[in-house]
Amino acid sequence: MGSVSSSLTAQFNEPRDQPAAALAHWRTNRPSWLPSHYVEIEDSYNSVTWEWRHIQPSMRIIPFAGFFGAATCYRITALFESDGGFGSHITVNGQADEKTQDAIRAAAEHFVLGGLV
Amino acid sequence: MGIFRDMKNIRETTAEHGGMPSMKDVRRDISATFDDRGEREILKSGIAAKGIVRGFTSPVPGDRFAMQIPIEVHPPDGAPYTIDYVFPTVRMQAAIVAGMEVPLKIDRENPQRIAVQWDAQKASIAAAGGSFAAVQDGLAQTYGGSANAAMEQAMKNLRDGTSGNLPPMTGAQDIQSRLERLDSLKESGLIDATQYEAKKQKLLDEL
Repeated sequence: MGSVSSSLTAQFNEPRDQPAAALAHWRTNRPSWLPSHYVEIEDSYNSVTWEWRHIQPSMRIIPFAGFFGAATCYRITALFESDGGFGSHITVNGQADEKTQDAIRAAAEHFVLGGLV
Repeated sequence: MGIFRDMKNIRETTAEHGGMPSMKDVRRDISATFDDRGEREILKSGIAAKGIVRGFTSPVPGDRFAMQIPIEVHPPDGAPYTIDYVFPTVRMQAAIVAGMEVPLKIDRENPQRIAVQWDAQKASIAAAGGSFAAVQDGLAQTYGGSANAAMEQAMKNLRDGTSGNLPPMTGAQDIQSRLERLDSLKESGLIDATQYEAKKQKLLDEL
């Protein structure tokens, strides 16, 4: 892993959906910034977590490389809270690879009402 | 001389813990460290619920690899109940203090068994503005609410003289208690007879 931190926190607003509805929506229609290799591993009453266990190509030739700690585990959690009105405030937190981090930050910056998920 | 310093540290640290463990002890400790106590299974198939922390983490007597904390569990159906949640220390990934809301899953077979969802807890802390802000919020929920209200009521009772537990002292009662304290100071040898007499007279003059 490089020196760039893999941790991130980003904020989104979903003004049309209450937290439970927004959570259900994000689970069925994955955000566009989330690569397909991130798989859903957990959900709670107000959140959903995706994970990607990544093994560097150079390590794949080593038998059981993943078992012996050569895999990097990225986990992203989206937390859904009420925005105090009719919508939701969504916090995306966790570790992600650089490409996904950039995509999340760009999406958070350009997030518009009711779009980009 | 790093290796010699390391060896010295190992020897002294293990001595503080009762000596170097045997290979059998080491294997048992490793096994205990990574024993998830069934939490992975609960997280996979349990019922998602909300918990409210009602205390602080403390060690489990006789178990070096677990912590405990009282949590009020709010199942989706049914009344809330409180349990002492015992969890493997190695699974703790985020702050958890009194007053915090925590996401958890309840075992379908045994509702007394739960597992905190640490990834979601981390996201919750991030949403609150970081660990410090989240801990402060949690403590405010506890001590800023019920405890503060109780304290304000107690202070009001004291002012009104209506509290049975802490009646306001009259001047004579106050002096009597101060004289008793003075006696005990003299008996314990902390003040001599001259100091005792001088202070006693001063207190009596206040009557």
